[in-house]
Amino acid sequence: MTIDYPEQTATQSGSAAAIYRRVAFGFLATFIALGPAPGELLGMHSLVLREWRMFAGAGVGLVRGKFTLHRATGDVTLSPLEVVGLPRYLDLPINRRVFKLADMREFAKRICDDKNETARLSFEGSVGVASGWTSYPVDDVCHGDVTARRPEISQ
Amino acid sequence: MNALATLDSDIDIFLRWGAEARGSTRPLGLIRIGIAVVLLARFGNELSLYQGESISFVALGIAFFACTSMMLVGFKTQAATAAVALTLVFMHFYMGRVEGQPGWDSHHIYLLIVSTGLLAMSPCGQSYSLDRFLAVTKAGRTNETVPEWGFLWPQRLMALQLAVLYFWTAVDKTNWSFLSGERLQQAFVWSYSGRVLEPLISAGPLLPALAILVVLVEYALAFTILIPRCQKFVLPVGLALHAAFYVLLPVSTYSATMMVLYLALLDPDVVHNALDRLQGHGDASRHI
Repeated sequence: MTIDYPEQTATQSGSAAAIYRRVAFGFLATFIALGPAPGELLGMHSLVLREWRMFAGAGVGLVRGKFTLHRATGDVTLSPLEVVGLPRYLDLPINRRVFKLADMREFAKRICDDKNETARLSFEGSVGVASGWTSYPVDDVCHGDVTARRPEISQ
Repeated sequence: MNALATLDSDIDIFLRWGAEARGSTRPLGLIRIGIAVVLLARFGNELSLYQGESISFVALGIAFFACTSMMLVGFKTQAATAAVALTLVFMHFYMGRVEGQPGWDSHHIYLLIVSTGLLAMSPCGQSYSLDRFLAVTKAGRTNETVPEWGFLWPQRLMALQLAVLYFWTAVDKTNWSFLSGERLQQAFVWSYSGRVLEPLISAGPLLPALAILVVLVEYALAFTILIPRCQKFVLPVGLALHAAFYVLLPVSTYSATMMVLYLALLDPDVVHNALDRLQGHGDASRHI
């Protein structure tokens, strides 16, 4: 069933109101449709013209692999969640994610700051970046600034 | 020359479809109520007064709750909805982008800003609102009728926004890192580490298959949700996609927002008539 609406002068395509409506609609439609294009196609990110990158950052800065405590009595393997001291990653604050080597120490500060723990802590595994996972082995997590194996994390 | 004429004609058809659309305002009224509920659910905890660390934050919370409540019940609807949109813009750009507080500049919030902004430009208070109740009461004394229709170009823009969102988010995922399943795996590592379903993380070929399926569905939705004859097939697929996102990933109110916005895709007059049939008629109460 079609509903008939009363005609008004403002609905006639030549009226000033109709022209303003067309201009507003055309401008906003162009903004909505093409706004993400510069960022998505040319990498030109801006405050106003933003891309639709849904859930793209969910895993960026997360650690996947195994940590090892090299004790005199033998190696002890720990999961990232055991090292960070949380039951799940959803509870991990953004500022404890790993974006550079120093962040790895912050991630493992529960162990690194433990005065009773003197063993070297190493990591074998990957860190989440925007393009997927990047291999990120670290020989000495707690004193990483003096270790040789410390690849840069490329976003 | 012919191509230019065709392009000109296509633009004209598009502008007529959008700028000159008229119809029932009931879908807009329902979208307004739905979005207001989503906003209260999404920000209620974060903006509650007990969270305030400064007077300006408390003032922001008071403004948000007052204006969103007015938007919900439809009192001074357009002004209230515009005020909600401005509050969201402030939160998104200042707290999210300038102060860099995590979460405030997410795409989910940006979608809520766009939706609320478009609602503020629409006659969304002409249906299911206190404004309408007051107008109908006043008109009853003089036997006038209060129109429940209006210009729907903002609703058309909401519909366009949905199609555009699907298109660009699919474009963003059309790369090896997503199609190989790595980005999906990251989302699962974030969501499922330390949980019972942790094995999903290393689900082998399931992840790339899921990733490819998501991208295909998003491209299909982008090109078909605006076509009326396709809607009865693709809208259920879209709703199922968002339901799956909701139960599989911590997407918060995003799925609910998208589902509410699907109302913008429907023919408003069909929705109006369906609601008429659903709600019965003026004599119904006499037969109870």
